[in-house]
Amino acid sequence: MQISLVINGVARIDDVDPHLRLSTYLRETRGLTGLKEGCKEGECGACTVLVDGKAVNSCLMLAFQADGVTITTIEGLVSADGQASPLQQAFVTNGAVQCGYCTPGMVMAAEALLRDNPDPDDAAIRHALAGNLCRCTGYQPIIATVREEARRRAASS
Amino acid sequence: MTVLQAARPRDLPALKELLAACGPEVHFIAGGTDMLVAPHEVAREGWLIDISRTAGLEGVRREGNKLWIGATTTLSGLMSSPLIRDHAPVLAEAADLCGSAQIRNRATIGGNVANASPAGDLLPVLKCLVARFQVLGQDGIIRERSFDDTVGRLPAAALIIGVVVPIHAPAPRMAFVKLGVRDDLTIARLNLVMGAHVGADVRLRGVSIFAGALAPRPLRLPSVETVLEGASLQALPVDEYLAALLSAVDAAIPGRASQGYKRRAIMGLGLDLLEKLTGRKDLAS
Repeated sequence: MQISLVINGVARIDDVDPHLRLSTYLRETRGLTGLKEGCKEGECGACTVLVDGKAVNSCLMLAFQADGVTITTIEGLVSADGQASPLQQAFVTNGAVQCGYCTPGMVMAAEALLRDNPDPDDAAIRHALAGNLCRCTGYQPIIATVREEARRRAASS
Repeated sequence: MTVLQAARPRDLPALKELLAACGPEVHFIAGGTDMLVAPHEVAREGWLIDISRTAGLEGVRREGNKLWIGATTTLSGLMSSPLIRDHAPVLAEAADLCGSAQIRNRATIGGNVANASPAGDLLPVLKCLVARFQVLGQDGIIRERSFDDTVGRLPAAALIIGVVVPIHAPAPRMAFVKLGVRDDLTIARLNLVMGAHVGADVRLRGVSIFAGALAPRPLRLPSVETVLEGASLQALPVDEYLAALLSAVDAAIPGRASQGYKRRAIMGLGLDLLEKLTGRKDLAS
């Protein structure tokens, strides 16, 4: 089935099998391997992308359902000259990354939160990131990073 | 080789036309948050119809003394709807306790009802709200069905297209509480919803209480309702209420492995529910 969509600002047209998950399509057809297929049941959040600006588990959406949508993956946050976004850089600076497997999904969930709620308190951050599991960091550096990035955006706006 | 055919009908007339032509093997997908959970397999044959962006199936509007909620309205959509927040805030509250932000952005009210999970968080709330359901049959006719005729009892190839929730004036107080293994992204081990009016005499009237995850479908607890009916907010019969909740668990799941912990759990959850509904914070003491 044909789909026409925009991925990280670039229009794409592809033929997809009706069974193909969006996560698999993005990784294998489009080569966007930042997102990870961790659990394929919406538990780990490692496959999180933005679909029309909202965070979704791309493992729980079929590729053919993405016809007409706009998708942003972790690769889409990087600037045209290859610089990591301030949020991505804050994850690195604050030690909010260890093994890194969860990080792309965590960053995308955080990005969705900050676009929707520019001034989240810790409870809102935890609630928004509850769908993203991290085995390494203990979450504290991640929450601190999101809080810090919210402050940075407020100061620069 | 797959013989599954997929379709994305643009609107309700196109959906009806497709249904009339596609034979009995029909599968609907919207959010996909239940259907695509591994290791579940997507159907290999028939038609897979994506209704997630079919025009006319999404949104919330007021129709007289009722709310119409489109079946593909997401849980996030319920939470952000001013109409839901004004007239059925308990539904928004329950939606906020479902899954994760990612799940809530995709999961739909129609899918939650059609999936009919015993632990479905919206189901006891919809039952308590006396919701009814608009169901499109393969014959193209839309019929309104009761909760009991819909949840777990949808005919083959039938599709929920809307949820109808009555608006009461005055609005009853309502409260919802949920117990899972963690605060977020958790499947309910038990949930409770209560609705009641508080009269000028500060007594509870018209009490209705339903439990989820205690039976295949939301279970009404009439013996618990009887204990609270007419009770003064200043002198709530807490001990009798908790005993009735405990008896309800014993009657619902005698001998089940979960009976032991649910007997204890329902008392804590029941206190939370009563405190939430009445505004009292001292009931546990």
